This record gives sequence, structure tokens and C-alpha cells, in this order.
Amino acid sequence: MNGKIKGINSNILPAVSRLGILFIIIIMGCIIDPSFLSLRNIGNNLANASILIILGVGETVAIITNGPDLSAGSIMTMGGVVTAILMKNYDVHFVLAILAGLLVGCLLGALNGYMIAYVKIPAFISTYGLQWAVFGFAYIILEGYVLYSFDETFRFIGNGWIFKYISMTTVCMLVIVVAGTLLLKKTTFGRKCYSVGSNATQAAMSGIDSRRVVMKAFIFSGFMSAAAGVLYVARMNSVQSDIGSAYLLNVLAAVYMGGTSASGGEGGIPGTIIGALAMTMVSNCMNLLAVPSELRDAVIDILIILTVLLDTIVRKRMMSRKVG
Amino acid sequence: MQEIKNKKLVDMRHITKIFPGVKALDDVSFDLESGEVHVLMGENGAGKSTLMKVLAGAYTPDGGELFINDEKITQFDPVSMKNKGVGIIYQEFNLVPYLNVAENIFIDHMPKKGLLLNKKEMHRKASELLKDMKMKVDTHVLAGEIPVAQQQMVEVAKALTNDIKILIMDEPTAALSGVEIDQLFEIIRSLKKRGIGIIYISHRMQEIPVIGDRITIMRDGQYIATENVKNISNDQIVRLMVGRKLGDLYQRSEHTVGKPALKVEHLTSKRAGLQDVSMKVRSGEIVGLAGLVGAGRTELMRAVFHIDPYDSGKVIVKGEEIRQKATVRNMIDKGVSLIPEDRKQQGLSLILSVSQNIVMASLKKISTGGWLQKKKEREIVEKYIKELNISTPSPEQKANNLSGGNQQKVVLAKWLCTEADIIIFDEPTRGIDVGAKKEVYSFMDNLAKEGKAIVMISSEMPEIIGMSDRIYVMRDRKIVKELRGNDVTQEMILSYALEGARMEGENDKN
Amino acid sequence: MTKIKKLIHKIPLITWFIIVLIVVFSFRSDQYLTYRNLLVLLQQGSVLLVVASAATFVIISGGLDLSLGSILTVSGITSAMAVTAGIPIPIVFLVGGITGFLCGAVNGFFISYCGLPPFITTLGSQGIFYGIALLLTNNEGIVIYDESFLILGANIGGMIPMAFVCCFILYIIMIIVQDYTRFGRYIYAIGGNAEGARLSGLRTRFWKFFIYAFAGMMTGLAAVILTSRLEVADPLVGDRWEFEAIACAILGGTSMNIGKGDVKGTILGAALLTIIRSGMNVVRIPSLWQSAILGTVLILAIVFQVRLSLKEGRG
Repeated sequence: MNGKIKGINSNILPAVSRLGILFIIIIMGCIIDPSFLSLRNIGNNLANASILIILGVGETVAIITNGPDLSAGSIMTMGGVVTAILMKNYDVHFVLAILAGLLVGCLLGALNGYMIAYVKIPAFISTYGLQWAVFGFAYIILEGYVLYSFDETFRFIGNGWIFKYISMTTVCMLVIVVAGTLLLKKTTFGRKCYSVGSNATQAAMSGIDSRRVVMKAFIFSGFMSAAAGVLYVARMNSVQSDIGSAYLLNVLAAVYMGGTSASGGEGGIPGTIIGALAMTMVSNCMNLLAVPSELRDAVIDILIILTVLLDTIVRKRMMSRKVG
Repeated sequence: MQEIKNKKLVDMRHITKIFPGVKALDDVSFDLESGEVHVLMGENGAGKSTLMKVLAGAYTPDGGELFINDEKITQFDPVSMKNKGVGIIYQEFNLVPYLNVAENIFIDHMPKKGLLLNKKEMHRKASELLKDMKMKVDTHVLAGEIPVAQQQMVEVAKALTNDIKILIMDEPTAALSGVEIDQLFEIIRSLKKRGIGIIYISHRMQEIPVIGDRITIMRDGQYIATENVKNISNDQIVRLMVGRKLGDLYQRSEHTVGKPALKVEHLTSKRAGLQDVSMKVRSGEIVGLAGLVGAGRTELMRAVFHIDPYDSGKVIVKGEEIRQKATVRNMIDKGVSLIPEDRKQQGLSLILSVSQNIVMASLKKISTGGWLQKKKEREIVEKYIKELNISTPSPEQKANNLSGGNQQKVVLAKWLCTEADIIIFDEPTRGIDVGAKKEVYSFMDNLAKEGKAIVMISSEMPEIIGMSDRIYVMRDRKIVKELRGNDVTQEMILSYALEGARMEGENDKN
Repeated sequence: MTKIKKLIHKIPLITWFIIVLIVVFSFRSDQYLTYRNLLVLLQQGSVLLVVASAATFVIISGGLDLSLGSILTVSGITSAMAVTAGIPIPIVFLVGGITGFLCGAVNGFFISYCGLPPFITTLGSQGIFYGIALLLTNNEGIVIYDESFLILGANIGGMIPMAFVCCFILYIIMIIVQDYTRFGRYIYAIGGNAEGARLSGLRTRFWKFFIYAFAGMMTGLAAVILTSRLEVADPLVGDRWEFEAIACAILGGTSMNIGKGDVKGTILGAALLTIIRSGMNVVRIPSLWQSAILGTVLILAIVFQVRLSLKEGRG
């Protein structure tokens, strides 16, 4: 065992097994519905996955650096709601409205960052708490109504198709994925995220101010969540105060399935993309199989627990392996 | 007395324990008779604690046999070992901070009345026990709120509540002062009279003839010798522990000492307990910082490196006074490095790659405007892997998968990478094997030759004597003596590190 | 001396808040300080008190349970089904308690024996339990008609709410468990120094598992009382309870990750939360706003409390 895989980069194995999971889901989809792999369905799945992937980019950075951003769904809602209400009720130009939505996302992210890095409340408590307040305010802003039918140009961002099979959402997603990957892998900030997330004491001894890194990571996560919300509104052409609530579990499942470690310091955006695609196809399969809506969350939850369980076991094995 | 002494309580035969990458115990045999104190000695990392953890059921051995009272042990866990009469007082504290003293003493068998705890009974028994030990502690106080020395005694009391036949004490006097040590020895003598066998691990030479009957010496995970305490001198013990002449390991080449690179003046920190500490290190010089565990050496260096704040005093680097509010980043930029003691917690990110770890403290050097220059990174990393002879299949290997010695070299590489002129080593060779130690020493020597100023905190006396140009001895968070020259001995250092502590203990009493 | 000092240190802040709020609310409405209103407060707060105490146990032990709200829901539904099937009240309690225990045991199994992070496990199991609840009810509430069961929701002699009495008994039991049983002390041992406790011979894995199961059981018992008070078992009734319970625990002085806390403090947290909630009606905050305001107030309160305890820790 020791000798055989000695030379192989230890990061590759989990990635391969994850692609395997994706493959199994695709095969299952094909069995359920032969048109599963048609260009149209793939394009649709990609477009559906895009919002999840964008959320996932932010969530991945948060989890690598410190801990889960459980307010992602609510910030997504708020970003969408702010953009929508400014366009609809205050006739703000859509570009400004989008900027405002993104700004709100950053501010809420900064609030998370403050609570986690400076007050030292664990991320899973502070962000979990914040989401209730944010959902509440989204509800207040909309006064319980649904807003719909927005400006055509705005809708193009989410709804337009280029080359027939590629949606604009997918294009936006690709831009964000590239930006996020560059940030994590090619900048000193990304390096610091991994450093703080893997061992904060070590990071402090290396002269890294972990509070600032955590703060920035959660601002980034808030920004991405808001961006996902804006795209959602553009794509669906409507918004209500609970659009993000269904996304939280999905995005967590995507990130964990993508191999980002729950304890931080490990993982990356490529894995999250695989995870998000897998989750989207799982939803697709559940649609095809007509799984009752009340059971869908439970299915995703079981998937989350199973992936993390598998991950824990694999990681334990990997950690006890020694070379050199 | 004589007849109970002959009964063999513990017989460990050919015990082997392998951790990933390290053979912590290699064919070690050890025995203990009733009514004796069997001292176990060896350098840090010699395997004493591991051997005792096997006996206490914290580790399962990979080979060999263990007999307790002539009964072969097959089940290794803390509970069944305790049922066999094994009590252990670990080096690190195992008290629960928010439970009171009595509850901690009876942690695993609190007296019950029906379903509920019998608190009265528990406190009564606990106070009796503590009174027998001549301890004055309120059993209702939370364990986290009593002084460290008392916590140590509570640990002892905790072990005594069980019907023990074998008591393992892992450096029990490390946190105690003179009077308390005498109390502890008194307790040990009364236990001996009851026929209890005691395994006593200590680094304090002067304690051995006072309390020990037999002594076993270990080195590098192997059994070396067992002797009657009366028949062995301190010199012999040291020689057996080290296993080689000091000169073999510690080589210092010709070097020139230059201007002061780091000066500390009147540093005082309430939080770390540091009182008016002054010291200086010149370029090209290795300065040893000796003292017992808890003397404040690490705390001093952490304050100097601006990890922890200090209240007053000056830190002067290369003639420039550092702001009191400066950060670790500032210190690194000024050319200071601190290579921490606990490499797994403070030195490395185990789940990150060797390459990422090496450049972690010098990200500025491998980036322009926040963007990493992978090519530069690779060059630097490869240079240090080669220079330090780090054995890794690839720079992308996770640090966790390397052996202890190679991990330590990665930590060294990380701090050399910052190209510091002043390098502080905190216990640089703890837990690594002799081969790697030798490499570390020759590396330090080279650095000094290049004109770097080096501070070395170490609890290993031979190391500190062998490597240092000058030695500061710390005790009770103060520097009490500066020693220099070739005729510094372990005894001299120990007398300064210890003696005062003893005197102060007496003073407290008056 | 130190004990008294500590008490003085500990009590004021949150109690002052409570007193100030009560004064403010009673100025705004002369209905506030009436016996009737007090009854309503007791009824509303008592179930929360039990669930919050369960959360307190988990937090002291260094864990987290985000599934308590869903356990409350599932147990409420199984007990309502038991009532509908004509099962006598004591057995209904048994059904609720066992349901909660089993749910908690699932959490405990994954957290203690498989080593999964508590927040993922309980966030995941939350959805699973809600799924079960929806399956059991076909997405509709189970309305209860059995008069004998509804007694639990009534007032004894029109004076003292039965729900409060039952919950208070559960609360006292939890105080006794915490202070006077080995299990209770082990919670602190696991939270404060789990490895040390293991080396001292405690079966820490089992007890860690048992903490979650026990918290589930108490929540399940509370669910029976809640169901009888609401006269319906709704598949969404437990929404957000887990966060409110955690908030009560933290406001009551329980700290995360250091094995410090006390269910006796949690009652203050529960009282504060209940008063804020009732007060929002008094000062006529529209129901549209209430959830956002309560969420904000709780977050601010937690930030305040944690900052405070950090300061104390330093001094």
C-alpha cells in the first residue's frame, strides 16, 4: 500500500473518486431518462447548476478559511430582493440596482466576518442566527409580495441564450469560477485562506493576520451569494422572500461533495463545480422520478451526511499514510 | 519490607510500538517490583512516555508482551488497565477546569446514593485524602482556579482514589517548588511502605538518589540499561542517556562574533509573568536559553516576537527600537524568525503541501502585487529542499506524510526562507531522531558562521552546553544567570535553574 | 466570597435587561403586568425553557444541535398520532420521549462514533427529521380532539398553567441531572477536557453519544406538552426553535468550546426571549417585522454576551 502510491500526488485520489460519483449519477440519470444526456438537457442542467456554483464559489472560500456560511441562502435572497425592489419600485437603472444588491451582500458578509473573526462566535452559530434576521428583513422589504416581470436587458443576464445551448447564466458562472479559482490559487490572499483554515495558530506565527483574512473571506462569500441572488431574479423573472432557503443545503452538499474539508484548509472550486453538477443532476433525477417535494430536502441531507462520512473515513486513511 | 519487595508487579517484555514513520519503542523490556521506586530516564523523545502510555492502556503495543501480577494483558484500554491496579499521573494535566476538586479526584467513580451523587461523601473522602497528603485545598473550588502546583497534587490524589498497585508518575515535580517536592516525596515513601510499586520519570538528576531504588535508562526508543541507583553515578547516567561523547554530535566551527543584533531591555509582561528581563545576542553567536519547563523561556521569546503583548521594556533589532504595538509581520520584515517548539500546532499546516508550508511566512517574496509567482516559488522551495536535505517524494506532498525529522526541517526551511538575521529556535530537536538532530545542529552552526544571531531555547542540557557560546539561565520568569566559557556543566546550569526556586519555596513558608 | 462576587457578576446584566424590558413594556400597556399576561408568558416560555436546557447540555459538552427544532416537530407528531390512537397520557409521554431519544441517538451516533462535525450532522438530520414529519402527516397538521389530553394545555384551577408545571418539572429534573448525577458531571468533563477524561477512564464516546440522545429525549417530552397546548401537531412547528434554544443557552452564560455553562442560567435566557417576543406585540410591532427584529435582537445579544465573557476571561 505504502509503496504503490508513494509517488502519486496525494490530492488526486479523492478527486478521482468524486468524478466517479458524478459518473454514477449521470448513468443513473440515463437509465431513468434516455434523453438525460441530450444537449438541451445538459444546457438546462448547466444553467440550473450555475447559480448553485456561484453560491458554491463563495461558500468554498468561507469553509476553506474558517467555517460554513449558513447565511448564504439568506444573503442570496437579500441580494435579489434589494436589486428587484430598486428596479421595480424606485425605477433605479438595473446596473445601479445590481451594484446595490452586491453591496448589501458584502455588508452582510462583513457582519458575519466581524462576528466570527473579531467577536469569536463560531461561524455555524453566528451565520445560522444571522440568516433568520436577514430572511425576516427580506420579507419586510417585499411586504410578503412576489415581485415579477423586470426590464428586458436585465433579464438577459439570466435568461439569454447564446449559441443556442449556452445560457448567459452559464457565462456569468464561468467568469466567476475563473475569478474565484484565480483568487484561491494564484494570489497571496488565497494562500492565506488555506493557511488560516488549516491551522490558525501556525498562520499567526507566520505573520498572517487571520482576522483580516476571515473578514475578507466572508465578505467574498456574501458578495457571491448576492450575485447568485441577482442572477436568480434575472433568470426566474420573479422574486419572493424565500428564494434562497432551498439553496443552502444544496450548496453545502455541493461543497462537501466537492472535497472541501469541513474542518477547513483543504479543497477548491473545481471540486465544488463537480459537486454542484452532481447536486443539480440529483435534483433532475428526483424530478424525473417524481420524488415528493417534502422528501427532497431529506434526500439531500442524507447525501450530505454520507459524503462527509465517506470523507472522514478517507481522510483518516490518508492522514495515517507516511512517506519519506 | 524485604519480602514484599521481591514480588514482580509489572513485566514488560520486548515491547514495540510503531507510529507512522517512527519506531517509538523498539524491543523494550522493563519490570517493576512491589514497594520500589523505579526511575525511568532518557532524553526527550527516548520513548519513556510512550512506554508508560502502553502500560496505562492509552496505546496498544505493536509487539511484545505485558504481564501485570503474572497475568498476561491482551486488552489495552485505560479502563481495564485501571482495573488491574495501574494508576498514572500524566505529564500534561487531565483535570476538567469546570468541575471542582472533589469531582476531579473522583472523576470516574463519584460516590452515588441511588441514582444521585453523594456529594457530602465525595467531599469528605476527598478532603481526607488531601489531608493525608498534607494539602490544604478547598474541595469545592473549581479545578481550573487553583494554582498549577496544587493541580499537580490533585492529580496525585486522583490516582490514589483507586486501589492502585502500580503508580506511574511522569515528571511530577516539573511544576512544583521545593516544599511541594518534599511533600510529594513524603507521599511516595508512604506508598512504598504499602507495597505499591512506583515508576518515576524525571529529568532532575538530583532527585534520583533521594527517591529512587532502581533506574532504567532508555535512548531513541530502545532499552539501554537497568541499575541499582546506589551503584551508578550521575556521569554514568548521562553517558548512557546520551550514548556518545558530547563532541560527536555538537560541532562548532570557527566563527566571528559581531555587533549586537537583538537586544531586550527590561522587558516586563504581567500576562506572561516576565519581570524586567534583559538580554542580547550578537551576530554570529549562538545563545542558549536554559531553564526548567515553565521558567518563562518560551513566553519571553513570544513577547520578543510580538505574538503576545508586553507591558514595558524595549526590543531592539539591529539597533532599531521596535514599537510595542508591532505585529509578527513587522518582526518578520525586520529579519527576525521564531521557530516554534510545537511544530504540529505552531510550525506547520499538516494538511498543506511541503511547498506551501515553506513559503508561508514569506509570501511577499514569491508574489508581485498579491499575485503568486509559481516559478519563483518552485525555485525557492527546491533550493531549500536540497539545502536541508528534506526527504519528500515531491514538493506537493502533504507535510503530514513526512517523518518527524523531515517535518522539522520543513519548519526550518520556512523560517530560513524569510532570510532572517536573527533566528530564535524553541526546542529545535524535540522528538526527532539522532540523525536528524545532527543535521539540525550542523545547520545552526552554519547559520552562525554566516553571521546570523541565534537564540536556542532547549531543555536538553547536553545540547545547550554543546552548541551555545553563551547561556542565559531562566527561573521564575527572570534571567538569573549568564554563563559562558567551555567549562559550563549541567550541574551549574541546573543549580541556577533550580536552587532559587527551592529558596523561594522556603521563603513562601516564612 | 468569590462565589458571591461571581453571582453578582453573573446575574445583573441579563436580569437588568429583563427588568428594564418589563418596565418599558408595562408603561406601554397596562395589560402587561397582569396575572393573565403572566400566565401567557409562562405558557409560552416553558417549552422553550426545556428545549433550551437540552441545547445547553449539548453546548457545554462542546457540541451543537441544530436539529432540536425538527426533533420537537417529529416527537410532537408521533405523540399526536398516539393520542389520536387513544393511548393514555403517560404512554403518550413515553412515545414522545422515545421518539426524541431515537432522533438524538442518530445524531449522537454520527457525531461520537463516526466523528462527523456536529453542525453538519445536525443540520443534515434536521432535514431528515422534517422529511419524516412531513411523511407522517401528509403535509398537514394533526388536530387533536381528545379532551383528556388537552388538559395538559389548560390551567390548574384556572390559576397555574399545566404546561408550565410539567415543563418546570422537566427543568428541575435537568438541573438535578446536571448537578447531582455522574452523567451530568461527565458533560463538563467532555466539554472541558475530553482527552483527559478518557485517559482517566471515562467512556467518553458513549457519554458523548448519550448527551445527544438525552437532549433529544427531553425535547421529545417537551414536544408532548407543546402539542397539547397548541391542540395541533404541525409539521413545521419546530422551525427556528433550535436557534432560539442556542441563543437562550448562550445568553444564560454557557460558553462554547470550554466546557462552561449551567442550565440554571438558561432560564434567564428563556425569560428574556419570551419577554421580548411578547413585548413586540405590546409595543405594536407588526407581525411582518417581528421575525426580523427578534432575529436581530438575538444576534446582537449573543455578540454582546460573547464579548463580555471574553473580557471576563482575560481579566
